[in-house]
Amino acid sequence: MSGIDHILGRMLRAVPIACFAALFVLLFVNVVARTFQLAGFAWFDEVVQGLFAWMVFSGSAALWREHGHFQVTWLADVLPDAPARMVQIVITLLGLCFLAAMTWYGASLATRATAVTPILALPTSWLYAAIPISGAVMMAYSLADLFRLLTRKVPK
Amino acid sequence: MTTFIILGVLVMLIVLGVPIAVSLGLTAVGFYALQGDFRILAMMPQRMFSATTGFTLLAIPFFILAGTLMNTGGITERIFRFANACVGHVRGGLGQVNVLASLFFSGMSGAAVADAAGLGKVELKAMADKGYDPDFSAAITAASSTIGPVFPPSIPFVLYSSITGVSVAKLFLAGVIPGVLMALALMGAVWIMALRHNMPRADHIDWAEIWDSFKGAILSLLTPVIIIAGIFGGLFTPTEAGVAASAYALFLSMVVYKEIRPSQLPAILWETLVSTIGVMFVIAAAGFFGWLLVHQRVPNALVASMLEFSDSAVVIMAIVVLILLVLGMFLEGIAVIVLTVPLFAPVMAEIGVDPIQFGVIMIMCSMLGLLTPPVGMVLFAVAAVARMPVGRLSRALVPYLIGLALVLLLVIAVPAVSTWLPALVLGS
Repeated sequence: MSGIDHILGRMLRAVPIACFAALFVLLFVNVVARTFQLAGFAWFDEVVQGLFAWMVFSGSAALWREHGHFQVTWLADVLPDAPARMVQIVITLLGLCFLAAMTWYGASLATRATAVTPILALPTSWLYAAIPISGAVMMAYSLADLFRLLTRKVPK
Repeated sequence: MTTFIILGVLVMLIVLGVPIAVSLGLTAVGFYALQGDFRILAMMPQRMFSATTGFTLLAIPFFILAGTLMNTGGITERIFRFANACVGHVRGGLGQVNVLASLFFSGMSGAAVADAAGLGKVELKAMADKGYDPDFSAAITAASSTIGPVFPPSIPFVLYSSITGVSVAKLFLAGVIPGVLMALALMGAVWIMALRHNMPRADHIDWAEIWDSFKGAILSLLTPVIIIAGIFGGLFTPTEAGVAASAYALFLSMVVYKEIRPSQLPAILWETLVSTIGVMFVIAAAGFFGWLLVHQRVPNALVASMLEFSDSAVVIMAIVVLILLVLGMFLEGIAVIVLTVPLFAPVMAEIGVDPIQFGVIMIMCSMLGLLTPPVGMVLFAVAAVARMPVGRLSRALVPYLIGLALVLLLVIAVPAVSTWLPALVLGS
């Protein structure tokens, strides 16, 4: 179990890093090419949008795994252990509700999108797929958190 | 009533400890699910997607990357050394250096936390070595890092622009004078504190050291020139300016200073992504939440009730600023901006406040929020680097908060402080 988590964790970091690096190179080349009037990239916007979306949503999943999203931890900090754990459970359940909606409607958006991008003819469903796939990974981690909270004593 | 319920539920979820992005999304999802309006939920992923993938927002990761590269690549130290040579002889020396270095640094990066965590580390070490009081050192390090997002380039301005449609170039220019005023206010506060506590200073101006450190820093100090000239010369967009700044910082740290090896790059990119993604996921969720607000006509209700309460522009402005400051104490700065800009921009238009001026007011309020407990990112970052309890640091911050608050009052009272420069350069 922890082996899978380890590999998944590395992958979850590698995808947004790769997207970011690609964006950096693409945008840089584009500025240079335009400044010196070498060439115009008409396909450029489509690829940038896709990479940006994948960077944000796969990165969100990576950060979710590491509990790195902004939150106010004040309540859990001031409460004693037992109620603090109840609060954690409620937070995790609420998170699951949101992620379920995001994954479900994201999947329906991605599967129903039949359009292709104007120049490269990439299916737009590839772009939208970032949302349900990341959502599903985040749900899996929330379920694991919930399981831990319910079964084990969690040190605060 | 709807307004009250929506905002009430949101605040409750955030206080409970639900991640801010989830609180935003869940409030909207819950609202429609409870009304049985499931068809609208199908719009959520679409809104999230389009909220995050705008080309302007792509500036955010690159301005953060520039800051991270400067911190790892030896640029930060060179800026500090030059600032030290320039103002080290003034009373409270390193305190003054701290402020000046932040002003230089802010011309290259757009994030306060990058300043607090990176430059802050260098500053705190130098001040500890010279025997400065740790409370004083940590407080001025935290306070000065908030200059960054007001002085261009600036991530919060990029965000404000993407919500309101006000030009990024105008907003950047609008931040120049308030940013310099913040630096002057902090230097004044340091001077007063230094007199009262009889703090050390270097005995004389060392012109040789100024020249020597200038030669070391000149290539780094050129970055803001490249950014500003590039944007206003029409060479690139603000997003591409972020890319150019990052590419330049990468060139300096890898080729000129040789302080970064290629094998370090993935870690640097990841460090940048951690800050970026946290912000972007909030923006994504706010995309759907914002749509809920507009769909339920919440901003209109808010405008109406505020005008009902008072028709004096001064009173309304005071209420808005007070709300912003209080929210800033509890929420992360970016969250305050995405939440309140759609609500308050119509109110400001109604009482005749220039959206550029309001942008500067908004960002300055959220910067003060970064310095105030219980939730202040800069406060936490500096407290962690200085190994000091947050409570002690926030007490030490009081004189500098007063200085910054005075500048905020000036920006509110005198529109020209923010609107004069953009009008001069770009026309109105």
